[in-house]
Amino acid sequence: MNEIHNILLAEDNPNDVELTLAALDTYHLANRIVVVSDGAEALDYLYSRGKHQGRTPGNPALVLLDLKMPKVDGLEVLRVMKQDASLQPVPVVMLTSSREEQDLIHSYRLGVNAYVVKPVEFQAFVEAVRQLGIFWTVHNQPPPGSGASNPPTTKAP
Amino acid sequence: MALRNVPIRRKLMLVMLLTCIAVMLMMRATFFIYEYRTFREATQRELSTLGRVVAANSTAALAFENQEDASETLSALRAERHVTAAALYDRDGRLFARYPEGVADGGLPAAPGRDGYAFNGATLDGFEPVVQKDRRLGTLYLRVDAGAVMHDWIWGSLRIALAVMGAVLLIAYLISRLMERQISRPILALAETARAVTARRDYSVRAQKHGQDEVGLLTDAFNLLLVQIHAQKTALDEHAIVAITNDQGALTYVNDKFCAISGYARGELLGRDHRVVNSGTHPKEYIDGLWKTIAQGKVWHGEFCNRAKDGALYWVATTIVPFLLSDGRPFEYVAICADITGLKRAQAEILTLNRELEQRVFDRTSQLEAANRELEAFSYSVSHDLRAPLRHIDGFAQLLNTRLDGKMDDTSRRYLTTVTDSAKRLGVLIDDLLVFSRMGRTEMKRVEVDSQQLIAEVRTEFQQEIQNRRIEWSIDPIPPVLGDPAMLRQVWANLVGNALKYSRRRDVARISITHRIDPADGHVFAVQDNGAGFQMEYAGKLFGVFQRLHHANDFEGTGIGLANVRRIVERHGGRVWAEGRPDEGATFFFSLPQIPEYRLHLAAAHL
Repeated sequence: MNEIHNILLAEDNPNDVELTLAALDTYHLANRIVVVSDGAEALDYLYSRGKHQGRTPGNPALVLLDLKMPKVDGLEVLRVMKQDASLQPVPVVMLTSSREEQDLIHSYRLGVNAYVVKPVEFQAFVEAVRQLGIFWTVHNQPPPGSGASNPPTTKAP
Repeated sequence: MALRNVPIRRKLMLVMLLTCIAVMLMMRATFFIYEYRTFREATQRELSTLGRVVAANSTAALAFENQEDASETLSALRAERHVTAAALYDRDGRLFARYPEGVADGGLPAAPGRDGYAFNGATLDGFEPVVQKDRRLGTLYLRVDAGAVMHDWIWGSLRIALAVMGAVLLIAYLISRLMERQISRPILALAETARAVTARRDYSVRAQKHGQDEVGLLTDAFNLLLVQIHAQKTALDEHAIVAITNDQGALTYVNDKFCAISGYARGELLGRDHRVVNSGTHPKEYIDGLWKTIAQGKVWHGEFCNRAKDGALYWVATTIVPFLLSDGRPFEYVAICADITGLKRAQAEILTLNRELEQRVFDRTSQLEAANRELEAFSYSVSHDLRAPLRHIDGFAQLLNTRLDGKMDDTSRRYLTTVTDSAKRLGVLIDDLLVFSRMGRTEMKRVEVDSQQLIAEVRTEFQQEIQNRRIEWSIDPIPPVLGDPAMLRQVWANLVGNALKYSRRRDVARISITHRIDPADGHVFAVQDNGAGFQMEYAGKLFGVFQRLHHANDFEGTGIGLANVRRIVERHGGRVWAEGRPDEGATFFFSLPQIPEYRLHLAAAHL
């Protein structure tokens, strides 16, 4: 298995983190995930600063963002990423409980790549997360220069 | 000078004198004819008397055939100026003597004619027998120049007539002078009064009455007219501000009210124009328009803001009436105004109040909007924060289930299933609640909606669910309405869905959709079923959020559908109500305001 962690999950709720990891674990994707608990930490990771200073260089292949987080919320992280030339190509998926129209509009206006409402039902949730992980890290061709890119042969269960 | 322009007193005198002259002439003519005849008879008689005297005097001369004596006797006729010729004839008719001496034989009759006197052209001829003791001695002939006699007589008669006529005319003139004073003086006085009234506009004066004749009646009528005008003017002055200007715009009359409201004395106003009270409020075009109107002889209505002497502004509602000459040009403008300063002030106050009210409405709307935003924030957090723990409950229950799989007894498994089911149900409730909350907030369209089409679409949606059921549909033709298509679709979906749901235990479900126009409610739609129905005493609870009359075990549902229906219909300006009986069915009604056809098209065209 490649050493590089190539999914960044920004989620403040430990229960959601655990469920998400459990879902990804079903498909042995969990060990490729870096979890940060708020927007500020997500930016620290992306810019390799603070706690994440000196991490393995390279952008993640996918960023999963919760909307509502302490300090810096998901929309703000999205805005910063899409305005930064080096982070702009990184696919960002909103993974949230909110199906509010305003949130959708805002996210797409800021350039989000996908918007997924977390299903209440666990099975549906597992399926949604699994599809996300597989699509963005396996089927999707990441932009050139993404340090996290992996040949498809190395990831499968 | 034409007779109609001659003063009445002259006319009267003329009439009188002419009448006198005519009467006199008539009388004189009649009298003259009578006198003429009398005069002729008298002349004849006189001549015959003269003839008899001369004949008597001539008897001796004839008897003794003394021609000298005969001539002597005849020559005595010289005293009779009008006797121009005379002659004596003897018994045998021979000329015996003649007068005057030198008259020729031809100037006298050759032989005596028949005895008697007769007018013969311009002369009167007479033959008188000369008789002595019944013995005829001869014939006397006399000739009188009747023309000269007449001439004298006519001249005498005419002199008398002229004298009399002169006297009569003098008397007539004097009488007419007296009469004329009686007749024309009151008329002239009346005219003078009328002139004074017009010049001074003083309607309180009265014409003096001189008698009960026609002029007296005229004076009465004139005075009555003045009384009426005075009364109306007094009434007008009590009510209105009146000003009269000449064709140049200079004030020629102002009433007391004008002076009172403007603060100027009458003397300060007369002769000046309306600009004396000009406040400068009105643009030039406004004043120009006014002049244009009244100069054309048309009446002008409008409002003016004027400035009084003390600088205070006052408003008048004004009517200006031009008085026209016979050629159509105005010579005078009468302005009648009402003081509307109070009205204007009230209007301004209303406007201020309106503005305040609008501000208040604006403030209240802002507050409402703020509240709405808060509500949105609330539903946002409901959507986000309430769902997360639910997901966790379900997620961890599932994980637990996986972990304990095979090691759990049935009771434990049922407990775990209940936890999962409850979480799912709560999720549905939250979703419904969010939809309901959004229904009250989202922007509403107003377009022409084909309800018939909506119902057809809704029925198609349920097709899958009802394919094994027997359902008898009865759907009225339904006219288009004005509203939000998505929202109205939800109304139909809810009502039709309910009808299908609650009638599913019938062998044959009967569902009818009807439409009627109600004078108060407008469009009234009804969806009727023969399903489970409900008790009327709970009808009020039907449309509340999460209010249900059936157990979820009997008929599934969250109790939000009819609340949504009510919210949508009320936002459209209509209302909802229901009728039902347990086990017999239910009818759900909703109304939408009726918009006249043309306005429907108009509204649709503007959307």
